[in-house]
Amino acid sequence: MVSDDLSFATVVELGRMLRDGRATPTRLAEHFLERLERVGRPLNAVVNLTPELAREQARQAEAEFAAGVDRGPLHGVPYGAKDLLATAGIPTTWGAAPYRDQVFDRDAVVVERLRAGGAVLVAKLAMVELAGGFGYEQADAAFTGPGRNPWDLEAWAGGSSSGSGAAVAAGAVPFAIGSETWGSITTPAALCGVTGLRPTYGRVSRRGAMALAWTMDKIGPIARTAEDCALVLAAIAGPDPEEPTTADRALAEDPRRDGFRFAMLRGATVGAQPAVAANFEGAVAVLREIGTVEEVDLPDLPFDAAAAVVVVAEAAAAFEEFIVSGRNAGLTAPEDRVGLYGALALPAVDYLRALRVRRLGGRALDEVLRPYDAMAAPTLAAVAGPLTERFSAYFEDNREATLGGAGNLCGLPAITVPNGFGERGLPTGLELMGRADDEHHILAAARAFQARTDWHLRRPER
Amino acid sequence: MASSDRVDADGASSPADRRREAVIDARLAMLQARFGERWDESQRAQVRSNLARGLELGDSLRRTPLGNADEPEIVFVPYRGEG
Repeated sequence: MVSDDLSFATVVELGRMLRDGRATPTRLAEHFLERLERVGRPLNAVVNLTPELAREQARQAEAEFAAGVDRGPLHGVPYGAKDLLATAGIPTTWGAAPYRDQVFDRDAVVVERLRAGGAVLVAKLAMVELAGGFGYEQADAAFTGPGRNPWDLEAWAGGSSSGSGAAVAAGAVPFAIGSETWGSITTPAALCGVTGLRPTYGRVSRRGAMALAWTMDKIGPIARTAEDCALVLAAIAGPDPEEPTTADRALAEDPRRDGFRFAMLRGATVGAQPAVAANFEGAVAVLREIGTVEEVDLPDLPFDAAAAVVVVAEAAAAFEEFIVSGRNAGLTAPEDRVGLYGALALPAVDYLRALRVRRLGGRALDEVLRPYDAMAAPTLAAVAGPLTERFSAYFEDNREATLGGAGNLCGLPAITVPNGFGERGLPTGLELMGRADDEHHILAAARAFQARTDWHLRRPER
Repeated sequence: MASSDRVDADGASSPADRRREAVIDARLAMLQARFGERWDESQRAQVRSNLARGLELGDSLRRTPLGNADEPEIVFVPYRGEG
């Protein structure tokens, strides 16, 4: 396999190579360390490489393979971790200058589970400072610089898991771990043309991950395919006795390749860029090949407003000491330096009202979704904006109905898969959102979609 | 629209707008007392803008009628350790 093919190989392909002798864990680790340095750094996707740890883990994987020990599909496969996941003895910066020297003495649970699965950590990946919770309004919102899109270096990679999305898209890691409070896995995955999975809230332990909003943070994979995302999810999901929001809900399987029942969000393309709308129509045509599609409406409830209140209230509480201390003045984005002061004056009744709307909305939305395997919509209304343009200006004319507020408020799983290209040659994404605990259905549908399309096989020219 | 909420003949803000601004100003004053010495004028304006947005969000939530029985999505379980 030539070097470029290696860079863009899937986890499944790398697993075959490791087992039939065409690759070794050490070779893969060195390949992706070099790739991260050469391609990842110019994208501002890397905070720190972890070469010593990577080589140690790779050597261990090699010894285990030689001894007939096989830890599973991630054994010997390199990955990058969003830099809000604690890694013992290695800086965990949260993307924020005031925390750039922060070091924890224990791995996050996700990192522990990936180590147990034999995966090889090659890098801590860049992110928008403090996961975007302070209200950033433009791409230059991390001490590592604005996240650049591998398809166009002057376009944004998306956030807040910007490094995770860009590194996978650029073939700098086979898979990465991101997190999502509201959009932070699906946005960079869609804008960078890769596959990102946001699990059901509570599916993956948050212990050892920076908390932005305790009731909305989810940790999940970004990879080249839905199949790869499924493999990573299987490794990181599961109950954590020390993290009470996790539950012992087994991941189910769905072997279907067709026969799916899809809901399509009514009005989802109103206000979207023309290519986003056209690509969504094309994706819906593919969904009709593997199932039925019916147009539906979200329940008429203020999902976005409730989600916004929950995020700012919980973020302000999680970072109250940081804000009161004045250390927030060291954040990169000027708007972030004052971003959550206002939330310190949010009335408690407003936060509780948002939680009351959540309860109503979760039940109403589940009722809408009950007959379906997934609800489809464009992941975003537009392709990635220019690095220099403020979001409010760029998205001013592109405000379609999205699933992000409702899905994240109610803790529902979603997957984004690439479904074409739009303005300036940049990727667009199709989102499939499921009922709580329906990761198996949305993954199966995404796999079936990717069996009929090749958008996920495209590579940027770097 | 209630007569008390109509915009004045000279285009000045309505009583509802003035109440809203008063709430924002009160919240800003509270924050100003704690943190104001840190802010320049543009930062103060941004904090005010964020407060206005927060008020707007709260108003949006209040357009959904909720009754006494509509509980928040919180489950509190009193802790009991081993033994």
